[in-house]
Amino acid sequence: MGSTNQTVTSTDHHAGGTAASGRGDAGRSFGGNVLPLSAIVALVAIVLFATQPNFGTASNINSILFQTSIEFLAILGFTYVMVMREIDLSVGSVFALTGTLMGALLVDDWNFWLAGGIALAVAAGIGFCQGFLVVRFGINSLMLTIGSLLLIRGCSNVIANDLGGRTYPREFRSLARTDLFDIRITIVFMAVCVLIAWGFQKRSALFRKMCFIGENMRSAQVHGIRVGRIKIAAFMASAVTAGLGGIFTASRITHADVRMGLGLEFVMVTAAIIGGASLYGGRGDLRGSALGLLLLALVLNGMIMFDIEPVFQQFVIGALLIATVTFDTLVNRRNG
Amino acid sequence: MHPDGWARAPVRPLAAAERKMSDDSNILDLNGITKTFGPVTALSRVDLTVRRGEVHAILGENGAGKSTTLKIINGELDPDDGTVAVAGRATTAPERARGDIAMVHQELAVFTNMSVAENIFAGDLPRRGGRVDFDRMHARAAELLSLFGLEIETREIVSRLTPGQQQIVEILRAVRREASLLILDEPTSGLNNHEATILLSLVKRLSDENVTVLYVSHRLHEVLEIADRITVLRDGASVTTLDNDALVEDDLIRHMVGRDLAGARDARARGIGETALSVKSLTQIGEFEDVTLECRRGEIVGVFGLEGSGAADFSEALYGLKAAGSGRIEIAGRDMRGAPPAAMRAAGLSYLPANRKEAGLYMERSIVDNIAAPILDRISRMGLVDRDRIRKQAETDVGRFAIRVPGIHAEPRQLSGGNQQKVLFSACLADRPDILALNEPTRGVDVGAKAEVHDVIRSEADAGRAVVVFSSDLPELLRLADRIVVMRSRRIAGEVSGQDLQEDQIMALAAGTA
Repeated sequence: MGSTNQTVTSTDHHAGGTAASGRGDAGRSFGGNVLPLSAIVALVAIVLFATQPNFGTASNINSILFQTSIEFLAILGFTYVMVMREIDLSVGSVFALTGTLMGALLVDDWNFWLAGGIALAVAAGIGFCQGFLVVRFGINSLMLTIGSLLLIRGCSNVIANDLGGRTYPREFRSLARTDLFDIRITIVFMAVCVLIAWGFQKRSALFRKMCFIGENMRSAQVHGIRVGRIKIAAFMASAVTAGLGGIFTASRITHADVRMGLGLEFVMVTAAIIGGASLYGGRGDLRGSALGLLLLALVLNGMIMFDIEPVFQQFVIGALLIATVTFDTLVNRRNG
Repeated sequence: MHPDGWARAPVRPLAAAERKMSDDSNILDLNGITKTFGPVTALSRVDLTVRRGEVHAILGENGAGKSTTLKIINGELDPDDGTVAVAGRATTAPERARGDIAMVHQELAVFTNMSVAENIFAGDLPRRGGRVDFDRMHARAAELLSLFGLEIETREIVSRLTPGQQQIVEILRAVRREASLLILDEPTSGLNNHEATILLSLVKRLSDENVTVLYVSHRLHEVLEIADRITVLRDGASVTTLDNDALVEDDLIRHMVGRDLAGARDARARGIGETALSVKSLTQIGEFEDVTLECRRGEIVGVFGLEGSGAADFSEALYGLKAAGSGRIEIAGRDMRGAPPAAMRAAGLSYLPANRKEAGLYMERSIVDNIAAPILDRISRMGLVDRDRIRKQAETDVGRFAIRVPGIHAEPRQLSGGNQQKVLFSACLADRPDILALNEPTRGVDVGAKAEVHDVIRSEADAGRAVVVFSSDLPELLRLADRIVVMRSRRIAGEVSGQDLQEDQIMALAAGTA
């Protein structure tokens, strides 16, 4: 236990703090990450394209984009939770539970839309509970969602075990393969979301409120911003979007699998911070998060191309997570 | 600003030669200490001499410079000018931080889950071999406790003690170090009367044991009870040092308050309208009790209270930042108790927080963003913000409040305290509220900006707003307020208006001597 003084200084440190110097009035780092990040993604892609003939094939590119677009669903709400200086590490488990639950209901011959609605409602309920606990009792969301990560994973595994290795009905399996304009629907959805996020982050009152809450929650309260409601809504959004991603993933892998979405939360944190979010709140950019996911997907794909053992993937994600978090902290301390 | 009318008061002030003397009989010698924080001068040529073996009190209002002085003595801060001699030898701040000065801070810093004995010997547990010698530790702790006539079990877990006992444990930790100077910073501020009495007797015992004590407080009767000598600080300067010999509280109050600042009130000729805010018997047990207050349109009501009076808690409860267990907060006839700040704001009550860095400003967002924060909904259509309107509003406010900035996209952290405070005012007034609750409206701003802020407050009242000002700066309230409500021990101690608006009278009410 440190002295009272120390505690006080360390909270002062977090009073805000971002490094980017964008001068847009929506947020200083607004858009600051997108261009350089795009350049890095393009660079990695070009290197892979030039060195690996298998990389440039239509099927490989398609598969990378498809994978990214499904993870993107899950990072949608997650990013905005981080903007408010909270975190939702239960996304991977909610992802698994929602997908598996919908599959299980369909195996039991439920109506397709009803099953989807119920699964997403469960996700929304989980999000509400987490948001409520954080807002009402001021529980640290990091620890809370580590707990619910385990708890929800347990529920999901029970359902998955119950199903054994049974294949989901055809109707469900074909969901992920739905195309719009000859492109997978999730990829189209991702593109549309990125465009909407652009406007949302530039123009909306809500996004500003989220940034204010993340930067200084007590100031936001004084200014009459409904901090509690917005936080709960964000946790619900995070769970529901993770659930959507889970539904598409379950459909894609066609049968129940206890490994579904394992470790997804770490991919999310890494991608979101690479994309411009911060553990210290006050910023975040869905476009950047999407690019972060794409970058991770490219790196993992490249490792396969270069015949690096797949077991090494965890090592790489772990190393990237530590690197981004270190960078994030250094950037914030310099301004603290 | 500081005429020495009172420095030449009935009691003998120290001769200059005596003050400069730095022989070994003085444990501590501060000479001409000056300290500024940015544009704010916290201390200006403070002199202080503590003799070996005495109980020396530092007395002053909030903001008089007590804590800055202590931090300099304790080696936490370096003075800009002046010297600090310990036992006759000039020292630097790091030397003092390492040296044998023990300070007990106002905020408790005990290890709540450990025993009394472990707390007393924290950082220096008695050992035998490589292990802690618990028997010896408890025996020595018991000795110390009994030496001061205290009945506390050494194995008791500290979280189960009363705040007063915890404070005593902290003091004993400092005593145990056998430092040559023991500093107690407002040690009774969190204690009730009974606990305070025990603590004062502990200080007397310490003094009998020849421990030199520097005792900081704004409680007059305590200081008179235990101090050998008293140094009064006012507005960052040492006004005088008095021998505690036939002194009465009124002497101290006169020194604390000074004379030049009183009577500087402006004649006021605004029309006072109907009641805008009416607080009835607002109570949160242990924080503020039975607080009743009314404020009319065009009126400025001051609320004054020393630390621990409950005024600060009351101000936060008024705006819904803290809970209030019972009573009413009526705005336009509707009871708003229990409503969150967002609802208060919608009802027309706006609040200026006391500590702009902690709550109020976004230090690293543009001034435009800071001013827009409370009115985002008002300037949005279908959830989309009208950015031209924000920019115009910011430009208008920067002009109106004469905020000196490089541009409207500058960030508050780049501004001086005064300009930060004006940005805070812009945000507070952005949605044109009917009622203003201002908490310490000029804390940490320089004299010039202070006058500008006062002008803003007056013009808001002239425009028909009801204004409640919470301030620990009494001269400020006297200049601004039509009447002043004084709080003491969580309750309203009285209300002063008209001819009675005099510093000594209000201070007497606040300190409980009236």
